[in-house]
Amino acid sequence: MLNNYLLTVLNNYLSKAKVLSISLLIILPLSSIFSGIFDFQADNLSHLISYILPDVILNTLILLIGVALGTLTIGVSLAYLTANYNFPGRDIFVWSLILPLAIPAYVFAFVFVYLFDFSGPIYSIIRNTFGSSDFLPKIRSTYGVIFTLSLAFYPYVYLLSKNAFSTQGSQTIEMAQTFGYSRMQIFWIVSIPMARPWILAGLMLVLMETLADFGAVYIFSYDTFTTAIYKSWISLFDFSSAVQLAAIMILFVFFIISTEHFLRKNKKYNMKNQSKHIIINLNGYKKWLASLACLCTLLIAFIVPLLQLSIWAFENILKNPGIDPRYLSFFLNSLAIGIFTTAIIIFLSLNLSSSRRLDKSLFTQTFVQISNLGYSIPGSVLAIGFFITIVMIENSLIYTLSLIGIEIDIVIRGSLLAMVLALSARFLVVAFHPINSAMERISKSQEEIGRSFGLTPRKIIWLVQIPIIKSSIISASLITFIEVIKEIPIVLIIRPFDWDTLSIRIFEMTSESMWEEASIPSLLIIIMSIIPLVFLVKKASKGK
Amino acid sequence: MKKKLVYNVALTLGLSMLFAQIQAEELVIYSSRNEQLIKPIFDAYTDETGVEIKLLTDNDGAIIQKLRTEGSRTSADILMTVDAGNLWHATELGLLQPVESDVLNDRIPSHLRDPQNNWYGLSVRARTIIYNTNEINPEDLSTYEDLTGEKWKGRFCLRTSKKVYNQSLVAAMIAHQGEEKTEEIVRGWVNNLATDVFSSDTTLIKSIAANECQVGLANTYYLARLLAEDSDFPVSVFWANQNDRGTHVNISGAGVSRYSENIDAAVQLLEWLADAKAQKMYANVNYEYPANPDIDPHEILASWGEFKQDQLNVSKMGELQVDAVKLMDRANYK
Repeated sequence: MLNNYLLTVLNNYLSKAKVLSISLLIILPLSSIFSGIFDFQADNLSHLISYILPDVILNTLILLIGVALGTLTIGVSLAYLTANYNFPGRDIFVWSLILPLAIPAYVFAFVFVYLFDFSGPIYSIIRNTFGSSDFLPKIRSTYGVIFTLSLAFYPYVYLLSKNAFSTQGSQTIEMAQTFGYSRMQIFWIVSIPMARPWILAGLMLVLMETLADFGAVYIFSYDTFTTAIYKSWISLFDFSSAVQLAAIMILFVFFIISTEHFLRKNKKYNMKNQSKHIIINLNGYKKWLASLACLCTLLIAFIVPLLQLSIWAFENILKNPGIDPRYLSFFLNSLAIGIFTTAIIIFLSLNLSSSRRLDKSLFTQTFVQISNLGYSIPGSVLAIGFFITIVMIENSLIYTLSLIGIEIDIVIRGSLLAMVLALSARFLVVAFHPINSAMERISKSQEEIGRSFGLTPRKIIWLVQIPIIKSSIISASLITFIEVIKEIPIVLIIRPFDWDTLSIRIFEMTSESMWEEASIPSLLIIIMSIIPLVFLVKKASKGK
Repeated sequence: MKKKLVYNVALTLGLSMLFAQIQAEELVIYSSRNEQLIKPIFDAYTDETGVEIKLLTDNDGAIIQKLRTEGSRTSADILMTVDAGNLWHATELGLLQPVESDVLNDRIPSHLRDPQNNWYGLSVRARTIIYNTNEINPEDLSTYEDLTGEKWKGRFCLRTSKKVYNQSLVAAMIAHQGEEKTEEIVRGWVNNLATDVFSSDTTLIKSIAANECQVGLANTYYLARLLAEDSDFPVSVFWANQNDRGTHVNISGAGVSRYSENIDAAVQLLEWLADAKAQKMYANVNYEYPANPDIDPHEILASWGEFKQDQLNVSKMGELQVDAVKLMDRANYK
């Protein structure tokens, strides 16, 4: 008995140590950038407060609300449609609706501003035909940026809520039907509330990405809080003010995440009986309407940008025949960091969400939240934090070794290991949210059975939790992989000499506004994202 | 000399370890100028001299922070950026060192280099008035200040004030005519805008071609790129302020890193970059003006004729950048 007790205590401490060490991945870089946080530049701060912050805070709130509404509308309705109904083209739409995720948001922004601006091809044709294009809406506007980001980010909501809808089982719905509720009422009072953790998990990712976005809003000249951070750093040469603003943003995100967590604290989303999920065949005009809704979304959010990128790529190849042979290595490098980082992130997310489930202490809960903050910080600022941390580790290693008489220079920066760990810290939440939401559907009793057989927490992860949440792990891996291969600032600052990825190529081309030239690496990133998708589709169809 | 071992955790994540020795005949360059704009030039240098060039690119803010963080352990020999303000900032942070080179002082005009020789301009970027050739008679154009006039109301376009090119332009105006006068001018510009500010010079130029507005300010190489693809493109350059201080110019340039252990080799590379052959390549690859005045510019640029450059030292634009940014914010120039 005493042995058992000791084992439990030990496991508890081990689990806390694990959570703490994972959270160090983000705590170290954050503290290294925040070390300058008390270095107040009074004149810059008062300038920011009087001329910049009031506007950008309002802009940011408008953008967050707009993009939240946009992604929820598109994401949830398409997810519900494809999860519950059968209509022409459904098998293709189910997976292809995720594809817009493969297009980086700033590429989206650039393509849309190019296509729909006054001087762009579409408005020019309309002007030539009707004499004026003034009656058309302006793309470089608040609506334009909300529209574009909603199309770029809805797949997060779509993918996660589809998982929820297609595993809800038909029992609850049937029960509601026997009480005389219509399909529409069931959607609002049964399906949506049951899918809430997943919908919110997707929405969280959307909001965090919107908040930290710099590239896309810059193209629209739409100033957000992140714009103000970059302005302090780059234009006012004041990194400490930038860091102070970033700290405010992180607190805001921490507050939102904690509120969301608190609000659903006492709710349970367990699946008691895994009744079979029934897909209804749509008939008549309804089935064509459903196809049309999916087709339109896919057309605007994926096919149009893809076509435009292809046109540019084609023009480029005509201009400079032959593709730079280095693209093969760019492709492989992207693939390598994508795969390694995704593997690490999934591993860390499983551990974190499992710890969070088994250990409700404030310590564990707080450090799990902290581990997930990386995604909400503007990428370039966080990249500096990682870089400072790596150099500090190098310096202290060199110093320690010099104490025992060994004089060597140690270089960790430029290593793939450092890059992959930094990327993992940045994108952890992308996998954590879906995995954690899925964990909530595992009932306590399932784990208790495991424990009664004497399984350790680690074995519970492998033997009980993973098999139940497999489909969520797969979706999580997919979006993590796509996020990682799109990432720019961290790879830029940590990568070694002469080592480039596809996203670095996009950076090189776009920093001098050579957007058309960036089409080739952008297309290759899209192709690379389609590979795991196709793999998933095959897997899914086998499972049927 | 201390033998320097570089201990590298292997890229392959296999955690196998690589030992590499930094060779004497090797220079490390940190650059915020794009890879595709400089790699061909460095390749030519390697062919000519056998010196290997290791290049690392990043954006201005990050590359400077990187150099700063690495401190004395940096392997960077040269810092290369695309705006005088950034080089000025790096100098302020003590990241560069002054070099003694009569060759550089001779090849690069004094207004295009740091007064203390911490850095040198290698190409010139002129930011001037551009106009729609179908709509505007160039005789109506004169100065940056004149664009505040009533006749340009609703016909003028600007790129965002967040772009350093505009910050430098306004900083130069502050240097010439003081803050008060400059703020008045910037307000006048904003008042004349035909549409919201653009995020890139290229979109701005295309909007002028599409007649959304008729005049604007842009760096000339963006227009040259468009003209290289379509020689009938209906936008041209007007050299601003030729009868007073001259047209505003900025530079892309480079300096030797403070902790470089290859100072001589680094200076040699800079001297080579300032010489005829490299200057032509360096400028032409992006349709910029050579910093060395003895070299002829690309033919598209030559077709716009010669112009008088503002002789204000470009380091002044770094010094006044913060003031310029705040001024533009006050004037509601987004």
